[in-house]
Amino acid sequence: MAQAGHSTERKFPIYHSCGCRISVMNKDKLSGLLLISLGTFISCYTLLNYSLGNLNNIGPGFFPLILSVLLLILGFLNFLFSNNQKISFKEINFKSLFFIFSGIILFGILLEIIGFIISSFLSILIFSFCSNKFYIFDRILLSLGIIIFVYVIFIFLLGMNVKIYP
Amino acid sequence: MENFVNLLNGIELILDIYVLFYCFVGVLIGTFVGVLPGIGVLAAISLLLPFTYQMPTIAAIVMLAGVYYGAQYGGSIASILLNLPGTPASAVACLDGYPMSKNGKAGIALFMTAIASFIGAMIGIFVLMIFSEKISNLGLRFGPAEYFLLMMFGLIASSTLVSNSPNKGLSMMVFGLLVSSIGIDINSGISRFDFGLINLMNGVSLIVVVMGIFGLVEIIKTSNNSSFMTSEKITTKSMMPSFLELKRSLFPILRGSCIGSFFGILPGTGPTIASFTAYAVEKKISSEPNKFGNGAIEGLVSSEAANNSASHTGFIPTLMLGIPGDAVMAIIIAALIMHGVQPGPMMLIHQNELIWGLIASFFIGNILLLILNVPLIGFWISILRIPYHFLYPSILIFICIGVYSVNQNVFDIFSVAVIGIIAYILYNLDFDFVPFLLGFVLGQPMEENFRRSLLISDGSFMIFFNSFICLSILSLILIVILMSIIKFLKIRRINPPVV
Repeated sequence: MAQAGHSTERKFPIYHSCGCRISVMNKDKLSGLLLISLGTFISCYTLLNYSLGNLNNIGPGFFPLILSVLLLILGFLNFLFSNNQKISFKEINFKSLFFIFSGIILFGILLEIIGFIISSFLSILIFSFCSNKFYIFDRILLSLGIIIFVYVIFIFLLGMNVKIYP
Repeated sequence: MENFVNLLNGIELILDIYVLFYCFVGVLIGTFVGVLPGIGVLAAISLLLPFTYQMPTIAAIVMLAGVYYGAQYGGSIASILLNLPGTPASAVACLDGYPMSKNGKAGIALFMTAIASFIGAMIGIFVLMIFSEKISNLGLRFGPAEYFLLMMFGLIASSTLVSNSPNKGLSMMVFGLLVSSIGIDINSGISRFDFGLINLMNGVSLIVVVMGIFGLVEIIKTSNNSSFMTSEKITTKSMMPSFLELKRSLFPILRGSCIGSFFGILPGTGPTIASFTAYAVEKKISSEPNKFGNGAIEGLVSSEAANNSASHTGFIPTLMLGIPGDAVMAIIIAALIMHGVQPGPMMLIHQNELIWGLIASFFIGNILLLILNVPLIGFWISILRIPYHFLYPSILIFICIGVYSVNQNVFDIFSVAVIGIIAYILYNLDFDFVPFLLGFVLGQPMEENFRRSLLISDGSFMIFFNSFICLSILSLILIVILMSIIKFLKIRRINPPVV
């Protein structure tokens, strides 16, 4: 309830002109800041590490330097000419983000240790937690089904070279 | 005349049962991913890329192209029935297709879009046959400076015209160029931006980037959905349009195809721009513009014809100049390079068979699609009933294994996860990824051409203003920049900024 009241308050423009918290949560301002910091970092890194060369024989640092300065300028433009759009945390799907990320990382870690079958079983199980449409039995059945499917395609038909069993 | 002899040779090449099979597989998968709103064409094509390593070049390209134009057909099905565009280019089909299906005319809308897509594709193929030689001859006269400017035009056009905010589109394009410079620099042998990681010395692989961006982001967005239900029952009888409807759609289809062919040939503009433009033109010249948005068949067929003809003529700049019009074309260029074929003006000479075989496969593929989309429409509608929560875990594990199978390197799996998260953050900040991918693909050839032109001119920037071709490309760039500034100001008038 409190959050809903908060968002209706923000419709009045007077609230936008004051308070730095609002300006940080603005999509364009935040992306402007991101681009500015990225541009600054890359241009400094390039200047410190790579030679620029001469105009008739440009070095490895020339092109990245131009690009990072461009990124810096575009970041400033983004920051200055921003639209009135805030990040809505309701739209961000944190649950899926977490389960998908951890499933993939786990797959990468386990694949070469315990083999293809068990690691993909575990990952599919983790992926299935993004959706709450499942019962636990469904999840296991689904994982087994997909593993057979994937096994037939990648190992049987394509002959992929990977450790299969532990 | 010579073109038709070439085409017959191409058909002869294609009629090999093996290639024909891959053409069929391509259009089938294309229609499938086009129909389902959860998976994009880009994700599908990049998932298929690892499979094409063992195939002959012609089969691989025929299949990937089939996915591309098959998805243009399939994309309109979900737009019309559910108001959910399967591909970005078919978003326009929602505007009039969905109202038509609410008025009980879904069958007619589906039939007319299939016909419009087919005619658009055929006109696109003819334009492709006629113009590819001319563009290739033009390309032979290009030096490094001309190439550099043309790539710049393509990048600026695609990043300012397609995305909502020209500023963000340009930022993503520049970011893509920067990411492409990771890895060993060909001229100096210095490894740039590897931050001490040996795996980054070869650069970031395209498959990893595309799967992270277009595969993972799409799934993170949609994995909460259960399924895309529809209660529509489409019979073949309900699909028959009346004579009046056929007559009303004839000229919009032809106009749409011409607009689409034009935008396809321009580097940097693809089917999405073409379909939006065709719709706007149709609305402008119509005698009753207020019908648009409430089920006007003219708008629907013209935009569908435009995106199909653009997706075929888009192969002209891709194959003849090596400059992609949209993200899918960028992946097709990468696939060609993987198979040892360098796209460019010399392709028509060295790879004559491949090009005409591909064109012949377009003919056959479109006829297959017409068969798949008209009598078998009921099958595709039933696909929309597959529960999505059964589908997405399999796509995810496909992404993991597919990425690993390319280099047998676990590092690629971790990179996909990291790129996916970065891309999801950027997506939530309203950034667009098509300019990023084009920048990523064109980064290295662009830097190389830039260096080469300065080497030729001995450090003088006048080489970019010397020839007639350079000056005309520069004026095109200027026009695009002016257009995007006007667009920028228009957007700001609608949404007043925060001070």
